[in-house]
Amino acid sequence: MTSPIPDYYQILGLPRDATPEEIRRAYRRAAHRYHPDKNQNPGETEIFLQVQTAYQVLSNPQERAAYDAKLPPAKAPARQLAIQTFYSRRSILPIEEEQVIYVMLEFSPIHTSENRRPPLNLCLVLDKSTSMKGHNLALLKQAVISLLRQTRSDDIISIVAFNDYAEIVLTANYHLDRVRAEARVYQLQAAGGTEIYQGLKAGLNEVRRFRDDSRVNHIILLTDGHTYGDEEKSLKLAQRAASEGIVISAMGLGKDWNDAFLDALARETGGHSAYLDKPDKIERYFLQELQKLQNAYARDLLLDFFTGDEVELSYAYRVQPDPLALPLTAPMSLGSVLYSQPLQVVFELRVRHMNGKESENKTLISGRLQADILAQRGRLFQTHLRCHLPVRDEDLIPSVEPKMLNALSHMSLYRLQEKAEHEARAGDVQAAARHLNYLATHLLQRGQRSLAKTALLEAEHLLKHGQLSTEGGKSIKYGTRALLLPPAPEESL
Amino acid sequence: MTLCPACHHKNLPGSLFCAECGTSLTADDTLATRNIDDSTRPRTMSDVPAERIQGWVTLHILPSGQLIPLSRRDEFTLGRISDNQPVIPDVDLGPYQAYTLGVSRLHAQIKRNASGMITIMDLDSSNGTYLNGRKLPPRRETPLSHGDVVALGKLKIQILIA
Repeated sequence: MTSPIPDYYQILGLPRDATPEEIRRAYRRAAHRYHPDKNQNPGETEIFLQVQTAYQVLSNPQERAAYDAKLPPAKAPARQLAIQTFYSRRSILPIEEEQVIYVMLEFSPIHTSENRRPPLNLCLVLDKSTSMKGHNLALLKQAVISLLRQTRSDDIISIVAFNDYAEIVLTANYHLDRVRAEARVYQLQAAGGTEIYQGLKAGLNEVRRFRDDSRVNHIILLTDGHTYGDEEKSLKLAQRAASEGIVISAMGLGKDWNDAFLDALARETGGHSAYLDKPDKIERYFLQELQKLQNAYARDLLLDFFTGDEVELSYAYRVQPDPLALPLTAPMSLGSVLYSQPLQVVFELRVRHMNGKESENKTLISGRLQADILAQRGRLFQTHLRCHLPVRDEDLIPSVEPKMLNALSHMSLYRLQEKAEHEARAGDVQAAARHLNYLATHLLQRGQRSLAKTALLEAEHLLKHGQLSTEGGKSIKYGTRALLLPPAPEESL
Repeated sequence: MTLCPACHHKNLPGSLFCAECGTSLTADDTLATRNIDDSTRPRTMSDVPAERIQGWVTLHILPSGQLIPLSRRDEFTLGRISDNQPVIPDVDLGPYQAYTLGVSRLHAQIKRNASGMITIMDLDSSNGTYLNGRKLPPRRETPLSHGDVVALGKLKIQILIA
């Protein structure tokens, strides 16, 4: 269906008041994506031609003015998501040298009477291999039962336990028979190997039966061991889950699981992974995870962006919820907004060659954001985002918003940890140990004594053995990520 | 370029935390993430060994502990170098986070007159020049004595006179 006047702004993904620079950048990006030499999907050549026409009109001021006059006024977007932008400074310096600007976006819910908490469609996929025997399984059962008791009447909960095969402990259904469910959970026995694919497949089937856009469709996977040979298959399954809007969060217990694999598995679906060093932490993590799911306001925030001329996006980091470095490709998946915790994302932008380019409005990063507003039955929200600053020499002392400074401080710890891990894996032992030592210093200053100690021990281990210990590496990685999570009850050291 | 006070890594202008060691590069230390080995750098003037005070006046950059001796001439302008600048300061404070701390390109002048008296004059800087915490009027020479702390914007410098 074509409207009488095509919306050229929409074709290029631009707001009506786009600047000439934004029009040029958006065109280049779209042309690059849909160029006939490159495109693969049918219909993309047509899109490419539309992009060409759109650019021809919008890049010419007279034609654009004439076109704008004909265009029906844009509908004001519904206010479904509050977006706040913070900058690390008030202007870009007109210097030749490369400079760094940080931009933080904060997305928070807008409270209206229309909002309701979305019901869950949750499946727990639990490892019951031999290694779970004893303490681990007992505490896991207890955790599952606490979780069941915290669910609401309109939630759909299913449970799958797996070793080499999957067993459906609790089938997904509208009405949860708590007594029966608890009895089935108590009867679980540990035996056999670990085949994540089996469990995941059964779990996915359970979630699929009641999959609904107005629900939070989710899988929580808990394992304590390596899966053998089915990694590829499992990742493909995760991709399929992602395409159906089902998110997986993965929890690894103890030191024997494959963190890179679980990370990848969760990331495919926009979920995250967590590390539990002791089984007595399972319950807390389950309840935290449940609370996060029950608190979902919006999900699948997707930012299709381009950067301004001479601007490069060099790092993107989700501060909360679930701290994570985000891949730098557009469109970028940002994650979810919770009622209790706004979504914060930091962009590190490098700007070059600003010498003599004073202007009032230099685009740093610009693009279209879309989100799925769960609180309003999964209604789609779309808006344009534009981050810009004037280019001028300013002597005023830039003061950074404390909220942003805190986010950047956390990001710098995360990057130290990330750097050390990369270096350790690449065999640069000296550099990795140095960065772990720096990390330890900062952790100590934040009062994170046990984590700091782990980092120091790891630095030592690294120098002695040339690699990270499996346990310490995980502690540091997940421990640093966990620093920003809601404070956990104090543990005795 | 911003030098990290802890590890001397050269960071891009605009950086807020050192890319190498994670130390905070901002002046307002709302977060206690500074990482300074106090034993190796002089904090107060009594810690600075006399033989390290060279020239007729030495600038002791307080945040980082570096010493800049001034000699040969009787007049020095302090500021930071940026592109397209017609007048370049004699002493470039750029490496000491001058931009972040609000130092103007031409911020102040230090001068020794014929009688040996040393004075400082603010050169209409945006964020002002302070002597021991008091703001100086612009374009007026004010005498300095050994141990005075001068602030250009928020960059604190101790004056060490030989």
